[in-house]
Amino acid sequence: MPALAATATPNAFRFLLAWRGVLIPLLLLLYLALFTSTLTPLLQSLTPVGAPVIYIRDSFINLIGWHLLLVVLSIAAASLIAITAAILVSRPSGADFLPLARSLANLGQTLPPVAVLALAVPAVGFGSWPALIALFLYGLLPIFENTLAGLSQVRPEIKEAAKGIGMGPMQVLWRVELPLALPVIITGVRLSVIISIGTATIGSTVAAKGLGEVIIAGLLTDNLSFILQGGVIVALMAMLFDALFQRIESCLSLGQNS
Amino acid sequence: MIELQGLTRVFGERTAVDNLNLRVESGQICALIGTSGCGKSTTLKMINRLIEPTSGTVLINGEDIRNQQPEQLRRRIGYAIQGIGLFPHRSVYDNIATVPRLLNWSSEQVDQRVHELLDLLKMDFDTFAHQYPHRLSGGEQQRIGVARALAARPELMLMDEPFGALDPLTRERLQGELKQIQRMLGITIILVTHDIEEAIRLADQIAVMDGGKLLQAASPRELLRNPREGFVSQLVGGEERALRLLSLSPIADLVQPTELFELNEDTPSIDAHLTLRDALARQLWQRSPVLRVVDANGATCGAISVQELLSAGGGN
Amino acid sequence: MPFRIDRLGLTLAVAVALVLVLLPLLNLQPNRILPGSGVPLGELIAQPGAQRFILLMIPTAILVCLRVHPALKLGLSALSLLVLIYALGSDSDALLAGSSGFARLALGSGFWALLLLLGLMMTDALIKLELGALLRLLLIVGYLAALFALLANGLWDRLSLMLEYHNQPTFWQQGVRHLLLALGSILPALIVGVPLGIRCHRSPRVRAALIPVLSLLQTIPSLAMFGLLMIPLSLLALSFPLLAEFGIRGIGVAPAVLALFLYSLLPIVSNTAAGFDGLDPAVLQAARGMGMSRRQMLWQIELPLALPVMLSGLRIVVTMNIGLVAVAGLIGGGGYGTYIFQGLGQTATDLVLLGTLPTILLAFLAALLIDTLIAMTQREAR
Repeated sequence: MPALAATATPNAFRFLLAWRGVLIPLLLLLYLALFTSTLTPLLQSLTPVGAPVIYIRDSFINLIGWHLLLVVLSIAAASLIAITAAILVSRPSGADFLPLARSLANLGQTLPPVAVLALAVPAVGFGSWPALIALFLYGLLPIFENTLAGLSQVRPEIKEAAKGIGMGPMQVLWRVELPLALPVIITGVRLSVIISIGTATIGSTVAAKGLGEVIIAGLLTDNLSFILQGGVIVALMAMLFDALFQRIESCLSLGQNS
Repeated sequence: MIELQGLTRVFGERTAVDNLNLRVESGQICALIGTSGCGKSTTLKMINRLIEPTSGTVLINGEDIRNQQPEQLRRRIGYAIQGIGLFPHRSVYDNIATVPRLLNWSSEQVDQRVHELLDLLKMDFDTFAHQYPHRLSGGEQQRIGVARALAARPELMLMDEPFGALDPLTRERLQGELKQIQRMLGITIILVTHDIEEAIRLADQIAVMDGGKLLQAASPRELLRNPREGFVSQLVGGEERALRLLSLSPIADLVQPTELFELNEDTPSIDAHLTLRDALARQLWQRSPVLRVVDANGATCGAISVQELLSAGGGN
Repeated sequence: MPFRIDRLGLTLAVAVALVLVLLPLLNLQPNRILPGSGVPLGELIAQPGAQRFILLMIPTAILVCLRVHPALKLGLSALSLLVLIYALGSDSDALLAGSSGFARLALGSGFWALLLLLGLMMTDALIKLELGALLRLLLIVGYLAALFALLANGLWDRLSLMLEYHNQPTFWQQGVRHLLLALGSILPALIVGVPLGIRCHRSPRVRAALIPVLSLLQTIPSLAMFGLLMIPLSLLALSFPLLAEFGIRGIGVAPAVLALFLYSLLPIVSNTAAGFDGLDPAVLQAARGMGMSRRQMLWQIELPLALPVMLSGLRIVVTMNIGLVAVAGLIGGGGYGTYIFQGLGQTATDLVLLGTLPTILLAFLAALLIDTLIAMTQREAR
């Protein structure tokens, strides 16, 4: 028995240690979402007299679900489009478009996410649609830029070697370029996801469903307790996804280096 | 005169330099040679206190370097390294002017000195002074590196594999120029290298190091004739050292009167300023046991025979 | 000489044609809030200004498709945009004639699409011209100045956007406030961040402790960060009324400035560290070997050489903060965000635009300015 424990514990421990960035926010998030009412005594002092302590207009699980749905849908679409576009402009036939695409990706970084959100409203009206569109549009930029960077940092001699052993252009792309660029692309997706979680929060000002409405409700009624609940849950969500993607990145690049 | 006394440096568990004693006379070039990791660079850096010795000390003209501010000490000692380390954001002029300005020279003095140094290194002031380093070739960069090291008229210059990154032709030309400049200015140079040819070509004294210890310090001729057993003889090259020895002497040393030989129109000739090694090579190539020796004007001034070379090339 | 086709130009030209046919350049709204209907192309084209624009746009579109000198493309597309802006202003009287006094003429989706497409043409031509950074900056600023001169002349005063502008007497004060808020938190962030970055470069242990914390701060969404900072600041103001008098209150500027400061730290610290990490060890060894003191090395060698990388960190921070200040409008921080959120609240599109466009422009100009600085500091050092 002791021998077994000695081999099992370090592995489990190492696993916990490596994934602590993911596990801690996840557990806290679940606790806050499911057992918010247990915190009522703590939050009492932040609440104006007579006002509800815990946000009641919707359940946190529901709001988290909506928030995530917006982010996942828009970033999935953005990833598909941005990665395809970056692959296209980095092919020889896309050379006419490359300089402009490069500087657009660079200029796009200066575009404030709020501005994209605000501009989407006149285009499609209020609700979750403008938020979805804004998240999608803004999400394109980091993914596009990172895919471009990832593809262009694949060393020419590696591509040369792949061609030399008889791979066709598609095979070079799928078997060599994309796998090598993957960690950088994932970094781009991570940045997009984090920005989206933040922008989706502001999306509540244009009546998109999500956790922002808890914060906004708190701001409107001077209820610090609401602000705290909304703020902490959104922050934990962002941390959770940041840590999750970083784990994926480090697993991928570890695999490449060894 | 530079004296290293009982110089020792320990990094953690590892002794990089172990009780090293060495004396370098003023106006000479001393080459520290050995494989990488033998402690030669560490030794060099202890002379300008880039690394502090664990024990032992260095005397420059009898003065203990521990009694001087490290920065003040370094400004008096020229320093040139393999990576050159020219400041990329400063022009050639400003690079050379670095130490004089640290020493608060007046701008006229600085200006005059930069002109002098570019002249000395045969680089045109108008072409080079206001260039930025990245526009220069490797050889030009290293020349500027040497000029910068010489800027404040140091009596001692430390060089850490200064020509290591250059192509062989450029390296040989710069070595020649360095020796000339050193003789002209009469400065002392301590040079770290792993290239025995470079050490033999440049140095008055070669100090062979291995595993942090000084194995042998001697003139090139002495080192080639009587290398210690083991690492030193390996380094100077078992069979090749005869040739290296020949390369140390000019042809002029063994010239004999032409009357001793039967020279004719077909006898190949060789310049008197070349080395005995060149003469032997020419004899082999031309299949001629005797060469006509000519001076700079092309006039015959003697002859050199393979028998003389054979007697000169022997070990003992 | 055979003309060769520029595929990018062809795509853009086709897009311009599609936009002109499919999207309205102007919308006629019954009043400030209600959505209007697009002015049909047929009606627009009867106007003299629009005719001039179309007449100029045709040769521009054709030349953009060919591989001609980029200066020609730049000049033509820039001129086309100016003429478009002029046309919309000069035709507005005629188009509004016969509508009620509340009616408004607003810029339609077609205009914004054309603005984007002409902007892309200009950007592409500008890249291909390969001008020096300073010249490029001057060109862009000069062009923007020309645009503003047109607007300041009252050209667009009958259009809804400018009506909205004239309704906001504090527009320029809000701009100053926006910039002050964005830049005001950067100075302290630089004072704290640069030394921290240098510490990170020198000590891996400091780096391992600091960078994850700063990255974690960076992931917290802005609205959540503002909200979370309001709580301790409110409590502080409640317990120390004196602080409240100095403006340290839960709502308003204080949480915004504090949040911006915290967000600014990561790019400044990590880029400073990266800039120092990237220095050539031979350069540093040479500097030390020549007898420079620590301080001389820092000021004469390390900082100047690390500057381009540090400036690119500053670019991230400045543009990010300009965007974040807009969000701070939501918690009463002031700046152009106020217009954005007021406009969203009133569903007044043009008020939203009045907040959004200057925010984008400020961020764009700040980035351009810093890019120019980076190019200038890099020119010699490389």
